[in-house]
Amino acid sequence: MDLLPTPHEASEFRLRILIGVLLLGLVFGALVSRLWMLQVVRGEYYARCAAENGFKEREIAAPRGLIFDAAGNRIADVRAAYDVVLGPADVRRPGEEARGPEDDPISLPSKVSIDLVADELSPLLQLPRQEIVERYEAARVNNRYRPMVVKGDVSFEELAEVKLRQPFLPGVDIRVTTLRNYPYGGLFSHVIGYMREVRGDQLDHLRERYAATEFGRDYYEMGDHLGNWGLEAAWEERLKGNDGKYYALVDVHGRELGRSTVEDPGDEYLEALYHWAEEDRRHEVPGNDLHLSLRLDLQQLAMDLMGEESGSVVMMEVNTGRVLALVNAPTFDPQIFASRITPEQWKALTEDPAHPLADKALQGIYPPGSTYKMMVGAAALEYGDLGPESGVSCNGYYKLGSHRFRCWRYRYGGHGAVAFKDALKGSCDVYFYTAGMRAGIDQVAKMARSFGLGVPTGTGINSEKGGLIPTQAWKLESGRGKWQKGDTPSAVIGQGYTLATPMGLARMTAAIANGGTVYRPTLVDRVVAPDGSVVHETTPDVIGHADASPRVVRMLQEAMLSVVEEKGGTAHRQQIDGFPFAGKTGTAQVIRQAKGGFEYHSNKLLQDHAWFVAYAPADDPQVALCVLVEHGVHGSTAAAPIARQMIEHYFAGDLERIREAQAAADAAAASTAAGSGD
Amino acid sequence: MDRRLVQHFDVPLLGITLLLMAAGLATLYAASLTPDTEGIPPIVARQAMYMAVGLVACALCTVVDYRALLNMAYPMYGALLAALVLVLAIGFVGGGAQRWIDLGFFRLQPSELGKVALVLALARFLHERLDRDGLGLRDVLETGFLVVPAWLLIFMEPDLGTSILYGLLTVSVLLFAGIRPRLLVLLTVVALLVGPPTVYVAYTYVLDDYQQDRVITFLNPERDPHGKGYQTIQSRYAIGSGQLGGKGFGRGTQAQLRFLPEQHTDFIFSVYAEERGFLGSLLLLLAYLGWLVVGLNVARRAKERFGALLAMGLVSVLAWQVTINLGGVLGLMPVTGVTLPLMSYGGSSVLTVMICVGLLLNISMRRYMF
Repeated sequence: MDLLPTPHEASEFRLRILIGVLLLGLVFGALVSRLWMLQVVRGEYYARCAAENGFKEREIAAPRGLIFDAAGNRIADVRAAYDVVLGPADVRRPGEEARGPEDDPISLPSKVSIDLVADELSPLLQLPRQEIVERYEAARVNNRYRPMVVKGDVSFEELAEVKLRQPFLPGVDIRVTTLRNYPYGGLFSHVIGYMREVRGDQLDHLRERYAATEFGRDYYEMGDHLGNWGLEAAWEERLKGNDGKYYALVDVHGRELGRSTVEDPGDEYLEALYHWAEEDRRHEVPGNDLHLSLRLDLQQLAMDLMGEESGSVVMMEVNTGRVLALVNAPTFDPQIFASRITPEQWKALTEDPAHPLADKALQGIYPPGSTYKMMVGAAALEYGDLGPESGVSCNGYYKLGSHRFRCWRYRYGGHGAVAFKDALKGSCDVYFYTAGMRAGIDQVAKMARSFGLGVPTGTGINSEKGGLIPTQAWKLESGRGKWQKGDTPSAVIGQGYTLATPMGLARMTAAIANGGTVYRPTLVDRVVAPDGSVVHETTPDVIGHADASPRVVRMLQEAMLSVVEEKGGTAHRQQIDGFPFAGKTGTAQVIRQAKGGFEYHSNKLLQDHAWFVAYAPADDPQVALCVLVEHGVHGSTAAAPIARQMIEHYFAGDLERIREAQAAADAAAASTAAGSGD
Repeated sequence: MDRRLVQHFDVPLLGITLLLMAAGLATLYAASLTPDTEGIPPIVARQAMYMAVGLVACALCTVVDYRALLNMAYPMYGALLAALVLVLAIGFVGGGAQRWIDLGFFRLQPSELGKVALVLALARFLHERLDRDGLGLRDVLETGFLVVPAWLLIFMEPDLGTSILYGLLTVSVLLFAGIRPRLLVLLTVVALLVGPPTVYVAYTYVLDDYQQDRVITFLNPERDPHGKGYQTIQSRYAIGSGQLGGKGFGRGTQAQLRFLPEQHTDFIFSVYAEERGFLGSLLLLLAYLGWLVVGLNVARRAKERFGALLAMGLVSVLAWQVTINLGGVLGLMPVTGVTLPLMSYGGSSVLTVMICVGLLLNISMRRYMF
């Protein structure tokens, strides 16, 4: 084989070379026309894209509106919180190269591996190492350019430790956010509610809702907190405020660069960008503040008085419906919902037999017991043939067919002959069995509903429940069969089918006190914008009027007054010297009454609930209360003292004056007596 | 020294080469600027060093008559195969592929320098087979057997871009050498029939996920703007925002803010286009076109087959790299990780290009010998 090169004729490759040149011309023609397309035809568009690219939108969180009590105490405010975040794209997987194939000497920090980050952060933040790695992997898949929260709301110690190591952990950053803060812990939990981080499905829903509004689709974003319950949820739209935004010149790692770093003064291109960025700046608008009708001192006192008991205290103004106190015991710390609640915490809250999460005042439906007797009496007096002086003889039981419905004084031989006032004073069951039977269950229900029972009172929070006022039609419709005569006696003494909420009973009491006007209970007095203007003011909202004539209302008032003020009244021991108030005790069976009247059950959870409703002062009613002590057994001993002390506190000034006047009168009387004796 | 050697020195080829080197260094400098840059960024210093080494290699390539390479062609091709096996065995892993041999001071990418070895082997093989009628089926098949081992080894690294490049080089040299007309028609028909299904099967069963992603991303970059389409979109923003006149040297916001991925290597042209605009880019493209045409002219003037085939092969190396890189960067074809000659940062790439230029100069200088 001849290895020597052979000369060839020059023409041999000529044509093919010419074709090659032509092909090159074609290729370069294509490249140039593409460049023309990108740079000249669509150049302006891409210039704008590039500008938006360098100027990243940054959010300024709007502080949430504050919540004040009636006296102006801050009962919910905001605090700064620090999140430790991680840019998934800025941290590499263990196997990945830190840099390109040949060392990339540009000044960006090289990526560190997630293993290193997790090793460092795990002990600092007390998080399982594996959890950090797993969430990093998930975040990488989801969106590697969105910072992932490693731990939200870290303590100052944790913050300091992370700050110290930060130079060695590129990709780890601290983000400042605001979180709800409740200075009084759980004191207002059930009213204010709590905040939770928005869930994915909620977010989709919210985005859909706000997409068409002025706020736009990004009004809520991942990681935002959302009012989840109580007033936080009901007034979310007012409280939230609108986040601001600005545009910052950032590098690809999202690090903000100052105006001076890239800019060369007089660079028209960048000047234009800055001008554009400034135009699109949006200042944050803080949320509106809520001013509640609740009073810190009354909440505090009610909570103290409940002590270890579970139950509810509601106090409201009888002439406006403003709620002054709404306490459910036990309560919970609303703060734990702000960050991630642990399974242990959740279990403790949900499995506690005292149900700390439940808003017993609005959602708890209980047999109202003897507090319902006012309704039965009113129905009998208003619609029936039972006159105020008509006596009923109580010898301890009411006989219906062969069945005997017992009076609570069965053991003592009953109350004897009693008319309405004494019957209510002594809470005579037999009288009210009789009254209820004579009026008829539907008439009783009509009266009770006219006092606002049986429907939610309309506070607008916490999916309020209405309770149940049974009628013949209701029983039939609910599939429980025809109303039996024997259903009536238990229903009219607030047992059986009859159910009510503490709030409902408080409003009923307020309506008795004010002469029959039924108000919607309100929690928020006014909503105030950041500039101080009042955007919403609550005015008393009359829902209806009781179906009781002034004469009957007066009889109810007198009877309730006797419960406290007269000897033999079930709450007589709670009398406040010189300051008459009216009330009614109640006991609601948790299980069917045992033979022979009341019995203590060894299991506390089977013991009866204690009720007390009251209004004060008797002559010019201002406030109405409803106290429920779960498993408190006796309204007179468990619930009534709490109401009495609430009243004493609320009217402390009046009591002082009354006592001074009394003391002065006594002194005068004494001196007169001394003088006369002289 | 023979006076004629100097007389026939291809001044335009060297001139355009030096021009491209200067443009490359300047663009690299702009791409490496940071707000606190002081003096010359180290990456630019390194590239300058690579270029100096490249110039020396280029000069060395002109010293010995290229025909001496006839005897060296197969041993060099053998060395390439050995190096590629070595890469797979002990190579350095980077970016999900195994392409480099770590020499301590330098990471060598054998498939880069291998382009020259391939072209040499092809020229050596084909110049013997050429007769008046052109290459027959047997010649074409045997050429295939020659190339397949190298091609497979590179594909296994995996390095899709370079393996495609090797295929294109082989086809280019074969076509240039001249295939018998009837056979050419037959092969074209077969390629058209077999090609599409083969590509489909290869895409589905042979390509790795990341390679498939590149193809999908090319077809629709907006599908995942922050993920796999990121490079393409950012590159498009950079180039487009340069508009007619460019943003000015060191003022490319895309490059300065590091939005451009691989901005020193595969996407260096985006940096240039952002700062120099359409007019500057047009100039650069014309420079490349001129460079390649001058190279083809070397092949045209070569007085014997080996030289012509070799020159043609070397020009193919450069032409395909320019086409594939710019096509990818401009979004006309998938991004395959092929460097842009003399603009992209990287020692292996610079060295390869300078050796090609040196050999072209060599062939050009010795055309008087016949």
